[in-house]
Amino acid sequence: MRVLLACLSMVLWNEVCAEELEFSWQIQPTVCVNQHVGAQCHFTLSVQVQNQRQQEYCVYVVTLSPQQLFCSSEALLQKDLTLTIDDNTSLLLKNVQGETFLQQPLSVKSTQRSTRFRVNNPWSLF
Amino acid sequence: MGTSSIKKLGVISILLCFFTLVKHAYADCNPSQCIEIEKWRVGIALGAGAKTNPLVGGDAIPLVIIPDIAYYGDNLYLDNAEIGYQWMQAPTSALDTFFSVNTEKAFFTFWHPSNVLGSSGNFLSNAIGPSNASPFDDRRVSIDEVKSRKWAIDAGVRWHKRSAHSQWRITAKTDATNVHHGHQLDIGYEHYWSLNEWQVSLASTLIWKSSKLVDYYYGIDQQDNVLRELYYDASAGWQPSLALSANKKINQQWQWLIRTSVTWLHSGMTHSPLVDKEYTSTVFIGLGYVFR
Repeated sequence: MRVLLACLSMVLWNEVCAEELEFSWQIQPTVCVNQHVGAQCHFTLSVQVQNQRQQEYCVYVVTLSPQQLFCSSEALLQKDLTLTIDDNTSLLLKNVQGETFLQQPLSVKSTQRSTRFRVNNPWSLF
Repeated sequence: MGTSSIKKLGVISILLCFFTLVKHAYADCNPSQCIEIEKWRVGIALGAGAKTNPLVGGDAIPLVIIPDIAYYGDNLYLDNAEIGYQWMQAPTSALDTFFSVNTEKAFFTFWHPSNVLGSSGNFLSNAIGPSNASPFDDRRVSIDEVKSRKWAIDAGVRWHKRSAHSQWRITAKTDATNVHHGHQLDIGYEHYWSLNEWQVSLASTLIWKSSKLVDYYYGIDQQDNVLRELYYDASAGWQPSLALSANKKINQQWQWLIRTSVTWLHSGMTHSPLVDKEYTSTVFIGLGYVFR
């Protein structure tokens, strides 16, 4: 029984890994730095996608809903993307069936502090 | 200092020691403690509650409407009845200097929120609890019989030491308006919890009030136009205090608020013929709305 379970898990693991290995990517940078909190943040990021089986895929940025940035089927794609985001978000890589294969979180940081500790508790007038 | 005062101080001291054993970590700015820089925060809470008045003839202060108004710049701040400047803002500590309204006068004031915002204070006073008579019951003097006391503005310095779920605060204040010529020292510890969706805090504070401060408001002398045998020199002392507050966010604007506190008054104040309770307490339950 144990041997059967071990074999089954290996087969399943291999299938999952095989799908994941179809695509890989490197994205730099993944943090956008702006001066003011809440302001829109512009940055250019470098995306390199390896697509061993040369399947068609598309890359999306998640705003309220995923917004398509580009599509490709090249085995190796190097691309610079200029994005404007105002909050933490993600890049998604999906195949033509809409399945998400890769996800990369993108975050927004500000050089300016947004909040401070209050010296007194709220609602403490009385 | 009486036996009961020593016991109360002991309880507060044990609580302070207990809290210090809690593991400390980096202080994160949670929403209930923090404020956005350069944005006005204007809130109003509506509910039911009262603050008891320890003075003879003094009505409780109904808490029906509680405002919350604050503005913080990079260093300057306005926080309800306090305006100040923060000289140091490290992740786990801060140092402020400030001017704030001394609230002792509130117990004497006719144009008190009780007369503007709420209904009968006596009803609320009775609802909160019975009066604790002082040993000088036969020497009572009503606030209506003595000369009016003045509002004062205190100047102070405060040091904060914060960790992930707690805060120490040490505050020293002195009269900046030559009204009472006294001083006050507060040593407090506050601990924060999240209980389901409630943000809860328990604060214990030891408050020392100088003899000039206590005597100005609660002493009786020739200016008060009462019998000479009722004259009283109020003295300095420590006042332990406990405060429990909880709030639960309903949405971005609305939140539930619960606040309760008790401060035990020291004998140098409670023996005054003007004072007929050994403590003051506050209770408020309501809904807070923050304008955004």
